[in-house]
Amino acid sequence: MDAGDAWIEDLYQRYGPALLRRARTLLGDEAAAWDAVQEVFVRALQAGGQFRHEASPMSWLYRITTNHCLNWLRDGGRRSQLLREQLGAAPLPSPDGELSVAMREVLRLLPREVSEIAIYSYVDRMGHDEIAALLGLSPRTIRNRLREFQTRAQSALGLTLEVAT
Amino acid sequence: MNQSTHLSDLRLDQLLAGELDPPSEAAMRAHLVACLPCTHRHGALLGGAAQIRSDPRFAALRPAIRERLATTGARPERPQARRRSWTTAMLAACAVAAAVIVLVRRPDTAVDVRVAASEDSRIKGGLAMNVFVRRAGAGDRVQTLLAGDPVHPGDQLRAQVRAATRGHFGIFAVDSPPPPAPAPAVASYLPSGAELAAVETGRAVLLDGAVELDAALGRELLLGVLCPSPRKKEAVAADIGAALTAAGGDPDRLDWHRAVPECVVTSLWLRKVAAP
Repeated sequence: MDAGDAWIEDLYQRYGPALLRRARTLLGDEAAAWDAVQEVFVRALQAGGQFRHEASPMSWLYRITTNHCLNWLRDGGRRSQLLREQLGAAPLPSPDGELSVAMREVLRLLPREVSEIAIYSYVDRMGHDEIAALLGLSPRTIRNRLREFQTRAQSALGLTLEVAT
Repeated sequence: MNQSTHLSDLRLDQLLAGELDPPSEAAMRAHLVACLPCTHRHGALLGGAAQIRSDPRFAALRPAIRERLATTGARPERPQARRRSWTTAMLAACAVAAAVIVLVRRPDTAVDVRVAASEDSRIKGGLAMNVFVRRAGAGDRVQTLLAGDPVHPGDQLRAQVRAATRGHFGIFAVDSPPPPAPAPAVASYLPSGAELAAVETGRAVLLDGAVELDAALGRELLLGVLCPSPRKKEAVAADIGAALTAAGGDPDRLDWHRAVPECVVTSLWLRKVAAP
């Protein structure tokens, strides 16, 4: 194993489990979650220069994973149509468990910039300041987008979500 | 930390990935010792990561990633190690040491929170055990050990205990070496001397002595034992040894809660790995 391979191995061991855990939570599809890990790693390593200069590779990988998963959810139009039929009184998102079908549907329907922030807040338990630092936005913008998420989720699916603090 | 004062998954993942600078890591570890929900979440992420790493699909995916990279011609280079000046390192070490001193000397009310909050792995029957590590070759850098944390040969351990009832306390270790190593043995770690250390009700006690970890790698089970009356460490080690024998010599099957008759026992698993 040369130095490059050893580095990839190290990154995979350090970051792979967190990537898979988040992908499983966001996608609710085991095969898609493993695919997501592969895609995210390949994308990250292809941008090796950026990887090397990130102060926190974990933060960077969180964002790539989130974007990949949002793409996957949005591309699954027909799948989502089927899921929508199952919604009914679907449970609200639980930070400890899988996302509900309803929550995934909300994430699919709402603007990407709103959904991304909602994921960091509801799934990753990040505070407004932490999300703001991650995305380079102001805490006020984060608050406003979470309110927008709450309002639009409510009107789209009749869900009531509390805005995380 | 989010605005409800709990650590986010991102922060916990950064801690587990070893990304944090020493002052941030010390602050997080101090928080984890005192916050039950965060301790549970940390444990869940740690356990989940171990489970994923042991999944055959995890190992199988790695060559696929390499292959994809090879076909695209991408060849990542290993990053240069970041240099830290002696001054920076010393300041960081001082910050960590200060954090630990605060932890040890915190007023009793704050320690009560920790006693109540860390039931998952270190507390049993009103018994709180905190183990600190000074890393070999890392100057004065000191950390509070959490379940599953790696330790290295040459690291030094000290421990603090606080109990809801008066008694006599000591820490013992059971190695869990990978086969074909010899069967695990019980070692008396702390305090120094032949007897368990006297502990007064509600008072934090820093145990005398420090233990330097040997070169044997593998998992290691630390047992904190609080007995109602004075006892020789040798006798307690013999009780643990008997319980280990009853468990077929397998520390994972050891019924450590009941390993020492009439005494309260708490535990902490460590992973001893080669120094980086």
